[in-house]
Amino acid sequence: METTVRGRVALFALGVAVLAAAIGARLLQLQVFRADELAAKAARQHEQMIDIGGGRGAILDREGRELAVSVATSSLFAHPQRVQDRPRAARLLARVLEMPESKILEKLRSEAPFVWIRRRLDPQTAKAVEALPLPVGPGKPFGFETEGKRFYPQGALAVQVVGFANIDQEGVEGIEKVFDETLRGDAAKYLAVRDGRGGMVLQLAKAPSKTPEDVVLTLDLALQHIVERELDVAFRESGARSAAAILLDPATGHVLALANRPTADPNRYGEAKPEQKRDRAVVDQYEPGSTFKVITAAAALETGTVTPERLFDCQNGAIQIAGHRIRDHHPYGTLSVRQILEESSNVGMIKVGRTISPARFDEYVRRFGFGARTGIELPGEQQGMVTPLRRWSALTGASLSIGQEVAVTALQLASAIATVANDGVRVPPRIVLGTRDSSGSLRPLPGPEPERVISTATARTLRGILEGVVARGTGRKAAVPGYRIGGKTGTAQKVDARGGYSHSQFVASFAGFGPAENPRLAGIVVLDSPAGGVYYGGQVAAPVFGRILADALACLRVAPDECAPIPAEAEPSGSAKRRPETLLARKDEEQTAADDAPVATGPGQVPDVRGLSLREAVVALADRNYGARVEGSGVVLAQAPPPGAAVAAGVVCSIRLGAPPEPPARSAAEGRSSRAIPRGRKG
Amino acid sequence: MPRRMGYDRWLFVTAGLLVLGGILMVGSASHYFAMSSGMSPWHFFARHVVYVVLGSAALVAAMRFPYRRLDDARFALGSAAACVLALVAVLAMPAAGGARRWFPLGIASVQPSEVAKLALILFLAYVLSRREEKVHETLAVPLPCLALTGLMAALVAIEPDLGSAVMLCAICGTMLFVAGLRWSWIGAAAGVAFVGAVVAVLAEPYRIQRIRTFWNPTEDLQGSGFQLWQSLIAVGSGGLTGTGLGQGRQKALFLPAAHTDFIFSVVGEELGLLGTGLLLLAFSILFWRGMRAAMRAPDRFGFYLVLGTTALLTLQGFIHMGVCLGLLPTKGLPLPFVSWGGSSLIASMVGMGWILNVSQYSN
Repeated sequence: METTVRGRVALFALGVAVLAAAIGARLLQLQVFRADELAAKAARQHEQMIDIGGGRGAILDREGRELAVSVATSSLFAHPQRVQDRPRAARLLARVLEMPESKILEKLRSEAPFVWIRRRLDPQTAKAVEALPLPVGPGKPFGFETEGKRFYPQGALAVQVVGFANIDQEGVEGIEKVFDETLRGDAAKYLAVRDGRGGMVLQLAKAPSKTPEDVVLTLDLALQHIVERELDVAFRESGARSAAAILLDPATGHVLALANRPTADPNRYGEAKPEQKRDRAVVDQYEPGSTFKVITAAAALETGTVTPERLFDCQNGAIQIAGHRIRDHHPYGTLSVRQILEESSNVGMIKVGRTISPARFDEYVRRFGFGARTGIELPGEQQGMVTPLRRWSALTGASLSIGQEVAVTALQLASAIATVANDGVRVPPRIVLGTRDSSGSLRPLPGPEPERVISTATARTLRGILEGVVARGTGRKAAVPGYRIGGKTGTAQKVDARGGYSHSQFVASFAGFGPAENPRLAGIVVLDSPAGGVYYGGQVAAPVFGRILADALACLRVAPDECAPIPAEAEPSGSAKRRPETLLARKDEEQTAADDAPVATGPGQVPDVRGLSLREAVVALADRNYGARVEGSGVVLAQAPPPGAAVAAGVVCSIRLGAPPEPPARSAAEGRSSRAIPRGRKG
Repeated sequence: MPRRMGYDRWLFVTAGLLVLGGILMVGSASHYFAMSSGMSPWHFFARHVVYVVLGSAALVAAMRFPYRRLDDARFALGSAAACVLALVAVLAMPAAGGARRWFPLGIASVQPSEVAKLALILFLAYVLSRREEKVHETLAVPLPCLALTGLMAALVAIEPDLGSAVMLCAICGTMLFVAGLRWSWIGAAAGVAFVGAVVAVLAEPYRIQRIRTFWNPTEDLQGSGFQLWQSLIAVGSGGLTGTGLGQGRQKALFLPAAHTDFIFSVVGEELGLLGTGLLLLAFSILFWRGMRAAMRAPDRFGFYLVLGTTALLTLQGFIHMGVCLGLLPTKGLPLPFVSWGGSSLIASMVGMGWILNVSQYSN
């Protein structure tokens, strides 16, 4: 063989030997020196601990109606590197998802192996995405993951109480935050053995140790509806900067309704401004002004330094205290304690306050719960400010007597008035009834200890006086036909920027209860800085309270104090004349129960409430944002407009109640249980 | 007249062991892919066994058929012409997996590029054995050799099957190099290849990315670096003795074409350095014994036939390994005797038959 060829063969062999040697060296490097590192990398991409489920419990009102629920939704993700034509994909998705194309493209150009394109899509959008000519599905560049989404079926109702859970279903405000642990379930841990396309086999590694639980609130949605509706009207018409209202059950301390304005839609929470999310009833403190005179009077009556009939000279409307001149809004001569409260005389009340020692006064203020948090299960509760005894100035006693030099929350004041309503026993307010596990059984939360603040006799005396405030005094506009209502107005000057009292900014409030004899409800309405020159509590807050109580007492089917039947023409509540439009129940338009079969209706239509109890009917109407004007008692016999009528939201419907038409067929009680509440919105 | 001796046992045993090991590895590597594609988990394994049987018959036939009768214009030119026609025709076939490489024949398909490799070797051996002295005459040797190689490689590259195109060029380059082609020619060819490579890279931006990730695979883990990185993870995580046959996880769709282009990586993961070292040793033995058989060939045709076939089988093996280990840019090439694929396996066994055939006549 030629030497050239031999030489070339040797060269070729040498080249191959070098290649083989390189392979050998590389094998040593990878399989000996880097083996551990690469094995760890392999494990990381093959095995992954993933959390599945968890879920989140619902938030319910006391009747089990849903305020917050979690619904399963589809979240769209992508493996960006596997997407072929990114601009095209972005263009297609942008149209369906209503997102800017550039934003989607940016996500698709991400370096990450996994990106969320859009989370928690509604079912229609998810379907539309699936219909796109894009590779969507397991093992494809795009895919869906099921995730829970928080939905608030009642919309803005009690939003500041319920709060909000973010996109990861973590409670960030309100009950959602405070009871986050309860609502949350542990996710089950799975060991996922993955393949290269993201497909995986799951092995349960750790069973969930905790299942999600529901939180049952003390709120009553029917009452909440009423309060929200009335507060809304008052807030809009008064031009107030903000407003809050609370209804308590005095006997239990249960918060039955709590509303704030301005408010937010929890289903569009991202768009809400901070002032809309603020639970003012518990986190805002203000100088209460005259509503606080109830506390002064209670302390003086309880210590026995005054009787309701004891007379004080009101000095024609002005008094000089430690170099300060304190005025009445109207000059009075000699007034009894009863009249001082009815007319809300500052001078008289200062003199009543002087009859008790500062120590005593301070003691009662604190026993009524001022200066301390009520302990309600809501985040950010303020404790208010009560001047410590050792820092009292010469003016403090006088100021405190008329509700100045003290800061309270609306809830504290509502709780104090509820204490009076509850015969002097203070039951600290609470808003969570208990938790409900998956079996549906309610585990009640231990309630706070009730505590006697004043004697039953004093409480009853005081209630009588406060009834007079509504019957004859400054609170006349809180009157509710058929019921005896008690309460106290308050008009506090706000502290302005210079530290003095403002002459244009006021907090108008009304704290009260009803019925006066055996109060079922106590509460407060606070309007901050009403505009338009009408700012007295008796003018702007008292009527709101009256309207709330009128509907709320009817809703709770509290027997009226006066047994005389309400004439059909009379306003059954003080509210009707203020409503935008009342569709009067003319006999020829009325739809009665006997007329025909139940009518199926949808949103935007008046529901068929015939045959329902008053409470059910109010809820059914309120569910679709209709008001209710009530006549009579029993079950609904007739309603106007008729069921199914397409009527704008906010309209007040008339319902006439009476004994059930066919006694054997359906008694009132049966009617209640045998017929489901028609729900306008489905959760 | 050379003595007729026994065939080379080293080659026979080594190739036989590779084929048997290949059956196991194909079964293991294809299992998950088959299932995830909705096929029987034994889909590829069963076919592979059939191919091994057919390949064994082909090997025996190639070994028995007197190789000198291949040294004939009818074979050399006829098979080359037939392959060129087939490579043109295959381009009209429906694409499978984005490429037109196969003639679908009912249950199986035939890949003409595998046959073309053998046909090219036959043609080159035919030309070189006759015109060895004229290797420097442009028209006598380099032109026809380069023309056929270029034509075949171009057709294969269009399919596209860049790996096979590279192999065709490597065979031609090796045989002309060994035949003693002038260094100036070799330098020119290298220059042309370099310029061609640069043009090819610049023409398609994704190839730049391929090159970049070749140098630094972690740079683009989800894109073009993904395959290579997954391959390195597979090999590395095998360690010394591997995770055990059938226990590898990288074949579960992390490795693309685990049972063909990346079967060496599966061996690395499941059998560790033990398995990869044995494979490296086996292909080194094939090279050693193959070159030995070539050098001892009784005639020039036998020399070039064995040289070309040995270069084909071992270079493809080493390139496959180099690709799996990130030493060479990613090119899809099956590991001869081991990877799944009927055309490749049978063609490899025919080539081994030729080597064994010639080894019987050592002088």
